[in-house]
Amino acid sequence: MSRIYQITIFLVVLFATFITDASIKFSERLEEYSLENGLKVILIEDKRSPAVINSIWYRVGSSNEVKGKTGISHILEHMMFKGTNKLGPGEFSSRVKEMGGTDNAFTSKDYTGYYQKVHQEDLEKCIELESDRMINLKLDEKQIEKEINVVKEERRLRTDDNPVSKTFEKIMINAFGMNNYGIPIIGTMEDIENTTKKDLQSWYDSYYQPRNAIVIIAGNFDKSKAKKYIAKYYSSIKNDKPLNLKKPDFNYTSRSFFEVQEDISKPIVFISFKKPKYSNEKHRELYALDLFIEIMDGGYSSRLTENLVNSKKIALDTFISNDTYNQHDSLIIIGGTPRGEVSSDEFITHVLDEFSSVSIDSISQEELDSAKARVKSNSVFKFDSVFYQAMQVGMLETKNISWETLDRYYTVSESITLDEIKSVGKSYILNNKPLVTVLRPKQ
Amino acid sequence: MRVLILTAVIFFSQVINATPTIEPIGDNNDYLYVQLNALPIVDINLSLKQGSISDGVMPGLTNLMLNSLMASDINNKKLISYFENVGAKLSYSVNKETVSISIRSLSDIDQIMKLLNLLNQALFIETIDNVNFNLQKDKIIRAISESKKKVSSVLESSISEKLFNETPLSHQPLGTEQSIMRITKKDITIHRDKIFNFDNLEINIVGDITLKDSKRLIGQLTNKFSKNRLIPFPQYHINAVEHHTEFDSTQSHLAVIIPAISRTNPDYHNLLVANYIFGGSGFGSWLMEEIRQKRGLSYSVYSYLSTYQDSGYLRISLQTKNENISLAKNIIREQIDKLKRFDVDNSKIKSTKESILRGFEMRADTNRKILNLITSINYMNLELSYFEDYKNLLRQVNKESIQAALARSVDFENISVFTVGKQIE
Repeated sequence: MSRIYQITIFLVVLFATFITDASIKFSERLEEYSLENGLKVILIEDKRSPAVINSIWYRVGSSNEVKGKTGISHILEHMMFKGTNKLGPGEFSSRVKEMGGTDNAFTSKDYTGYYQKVHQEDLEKCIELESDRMINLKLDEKQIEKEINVVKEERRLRTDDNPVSKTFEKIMINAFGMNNYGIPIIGTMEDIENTTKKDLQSWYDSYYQPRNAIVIIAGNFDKSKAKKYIAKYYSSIKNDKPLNLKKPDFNYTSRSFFEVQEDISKPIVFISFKKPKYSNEKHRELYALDLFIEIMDGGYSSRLTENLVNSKKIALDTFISNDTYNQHDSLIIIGGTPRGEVSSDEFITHVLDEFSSVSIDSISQEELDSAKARVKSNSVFKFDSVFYQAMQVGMLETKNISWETLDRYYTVSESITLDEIKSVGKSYILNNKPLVTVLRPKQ
Repeated sequence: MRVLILTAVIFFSQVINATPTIEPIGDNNDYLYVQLNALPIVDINLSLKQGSISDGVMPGLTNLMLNSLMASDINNKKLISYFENVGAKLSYSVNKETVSISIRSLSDIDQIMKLLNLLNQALFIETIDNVNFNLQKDKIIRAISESKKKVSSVLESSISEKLFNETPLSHQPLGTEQSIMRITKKDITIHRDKIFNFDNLEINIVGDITLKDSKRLIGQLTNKFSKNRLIPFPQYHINAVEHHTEFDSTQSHLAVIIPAISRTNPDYHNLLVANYIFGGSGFGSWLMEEIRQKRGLSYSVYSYLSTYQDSGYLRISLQTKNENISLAKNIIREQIDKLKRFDVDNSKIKSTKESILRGFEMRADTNRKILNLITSINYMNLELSYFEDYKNLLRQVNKESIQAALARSVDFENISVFTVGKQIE
């Protein structure tokens, strides 16, 4: 057997023109435009394989929901596979499967997305299928009943039997009440059970309209043909109903400390800091915050691991979670697992010490350079997956943040100074009031 | 880096009609290489064909060894910090059959050579630091305790213990608390010297790197490997087991295991098509239709062929609320009977084959996936004509060949059923 073999998957390489400073840019391969009905279209070319991602993103997620109707965006996402006036339940996915493709969907706080990964020759069929369910969804009572049971099983799997997820859910509700990012994406069990056909129909009518959607096609496709298909299948769809964008906020009070008891082996501590929503004017400050967080806990050699795990030996692990582009007030959550006999209180003190003025002022240029090196390489690594390219663009565009933001991220980050890093560390963490949660083993 | 980037600009501005090739590096069939220049990324995977099966009387030894070595200090700095300071990624894992170390870096060969030199120093470090060693033990002991609180991990442990009883496959790679506490630093270095040998070693490289540089890189990475002999893979026979573990959860998790075949068995492609129709392809598969679509019993239900070099099995998995587990089990049994008969239209088989073949063309669409593919090809000792063989063998599949393969290669008389959850009266 010859040890040299031609892979029969034809990887025709016509990729991005490579720009200086290690940054591959979307702008070199991306085109955007809108149809007259307001549907936004973004085309991203990457011809490394014969596959293409056809995706559609609706600007609706759990943050649009209200108390008593939580989880409805997610249930509707499930129902979108249950048939239209033209297709029977499950037929959408069966058609994609016949093409050798895969399909799925996802619901987040700010958006609901659907995608198919297919051979470039099957792009038109997918666009037709996706446009059909934008207008012709058939909500059948029996199908809804069954799917609600499926979603309840999903909640049991992802949240109810998962102590850490359950605690995160409680932390968000404590911080924001049943408003915006406080609303669990999957919904409460009670709300899932009580969701009706009428609720779903109203949600679909309100949000599944061309002016509230973005089509993103990424991968190997003929651009002119793609445009032709999009015009053919989407341009006749009207925006029939007003967008339901306003909702009342419920009153809530955040507790500065609460405990959760679950069946776990060791306590886990969560220290949360409220963070205002992303604004373009503040982008430099927010990128500096990203770098600050990278320095503190972006890797296994970052400050929290180095100081708390390796040097002081008071933690088994640490973490920080942060969303750069939050559309509503959100949380920066810092935490970890105390080691050995270290109490939760001691652990909290040590973590907060890492964010003291003295500690923040001691951040070195070397630490900043290390964090920037990771931003630099990630700005290239993120282009390996075509699906992830579509995801990055979709996640921003659904929040009304231009995809161009992605191209400037590396350049802006590269120019951020040590003083800026220290300044955001102090304003977002040090001078901010922490909300503390301790997840303890059940007594 | 700037020089590298400018070189890349020239390269990427060309339109390349590339048909990438898998090549052995330096005529060594254990070192495989695919050149992909579209992105300035290099991915390297080093695999040892010995995972926790080589733990011997010390469950968790291989995993503790790898974690201790990778957390080494080189010149008073953690190994990982050298990688992170230049934006490179280093990841590692131990499963039952392999030790795997992966590196992803921008394509700066000098930088990669330096990192591999440091990795090599860490892997063959003479003295393991006490503080580091105790930290790794504490982390692993915590992970073991946590795994006992997680329904899915409890299920995996119970499968290993009951199904592979008294074989090196019977414990999880994490090991046991008692064993981890007993392991000494000397055990670690002895084990390291035993399994880090050329007989176990496979290296796979994908990305923006030349064959010549790949060869240099392997030299850098392996210059301390020994010539010890491979530890033979354990032989085992799966006996039918029905086992329930009581657990305080809202859902019960179910796994059904049917002895089947190895990846290199000639029946593999027949079973692949059968499994696709049965439960391996999500929506539209029998399991998904009966469990989720018709009855809403589970969010996730699937089956897959788990194939090793010498053996394998067909596994079915689902989770459902405790009250529904008996119903779900009965439906799975009915579907297994249906699979055994496999009375499926030829047109369905034809369309399934077309679907699999079409999907196969799109499978290798990222550098990472190509790396994973060649790592599997290497591990399974498949021919480098894998891509063509796969398609040719799949085209030959028909109803009769599937029925014959099911009768011959799936042991329907030896079905094991595992559940974890709360039994409801």
